[in-house]
Amino acid sequence: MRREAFFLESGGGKRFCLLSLPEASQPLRGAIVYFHPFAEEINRSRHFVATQARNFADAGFAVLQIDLHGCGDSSGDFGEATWAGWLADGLAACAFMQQRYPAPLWLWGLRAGALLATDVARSLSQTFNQSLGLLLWHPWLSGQQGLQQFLRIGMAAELLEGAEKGQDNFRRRLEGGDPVEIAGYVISPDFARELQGVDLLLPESHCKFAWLEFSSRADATLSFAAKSVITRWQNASHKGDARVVMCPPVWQRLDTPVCPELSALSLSALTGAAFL
Amino acid sequence: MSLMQELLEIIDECLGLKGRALKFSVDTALLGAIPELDSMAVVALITAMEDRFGLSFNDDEIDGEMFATVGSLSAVLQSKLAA
Repeated sequence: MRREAFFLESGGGKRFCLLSLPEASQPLRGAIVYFHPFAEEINRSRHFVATQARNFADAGFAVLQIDLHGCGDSSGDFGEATWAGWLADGLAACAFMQQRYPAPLWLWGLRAGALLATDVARSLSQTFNQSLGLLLWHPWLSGQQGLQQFLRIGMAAELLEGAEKGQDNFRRRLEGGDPVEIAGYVISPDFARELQGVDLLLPESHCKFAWLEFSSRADATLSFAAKSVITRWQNASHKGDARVVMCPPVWQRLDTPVCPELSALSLSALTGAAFL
Repeated sequence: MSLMQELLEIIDECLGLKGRALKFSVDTALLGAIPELDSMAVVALITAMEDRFGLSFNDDEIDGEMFATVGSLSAVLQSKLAA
């Protein structure tokens, strides 16, 4: 496996990218663009995702991990980020991969990244007539849901500092046009408003999906909410399926678990084996 | 599985306690007593309870008191389930 680090131009700034590649002698099976989760979830899942990217590269895939605007080592502050800007970053990453690696393209996302991946796929499908694949790890069901969970972190932080009750100031401040800071991350009112309008939607055609829901229980079935979305997609003739996989919430936990089942299922989906 | 056992499992999973929570009692202190219970873990606990029991917590139902001990959290859960 080989690694390359570089900066990609997007939105008038630079986005840090890490490329994991198979050995030069290996035939290329596909190109993957990875979309990371929201705020602190990026850091908590970083190590786990890095290992997975390596696994994919070893299996013959070129994997690009891009730090979105205001995240990681990319330019800009988190408070300046916008969903539209992240969409543009995603499209730039895809354009880079399509140009360099003529192979089936997969968009792989975790949580907010999975939601972004579907949005990028919708934009891409208008100009891209090859089949796109989506590998979705525990997607945010909507920007609204993700925002609510993020604002709750702020409330929880207040409880930990001794407040009796969550004040719900955050939502009111955003609606009033003020940014809020939660766990060290600033979210602008514009970004919050954009998030509230983002839903999990697939492109009209040329797209297949593999949805993996994480659960710590061995006997878990797919959540009702996930099932609703997937049924809607399948009824619209999208090719794909979902599985629950036994794996703790890597985007939230401080430790880094090992999940061979997740790796195996993800690879099955990417290589077009049994899963889909 | 009893409600208490399910709750202890949820606490164990959300905080990554590797089985330690399964030995907690009703009086075991949570908020402020367990370093793994940070703001993200609190949200994970609420989300897990919502998902596992099919509940929905309003933001104004969430207060520090409910996370004081295993017992206080269990009481809130029980009353929501009975509602």
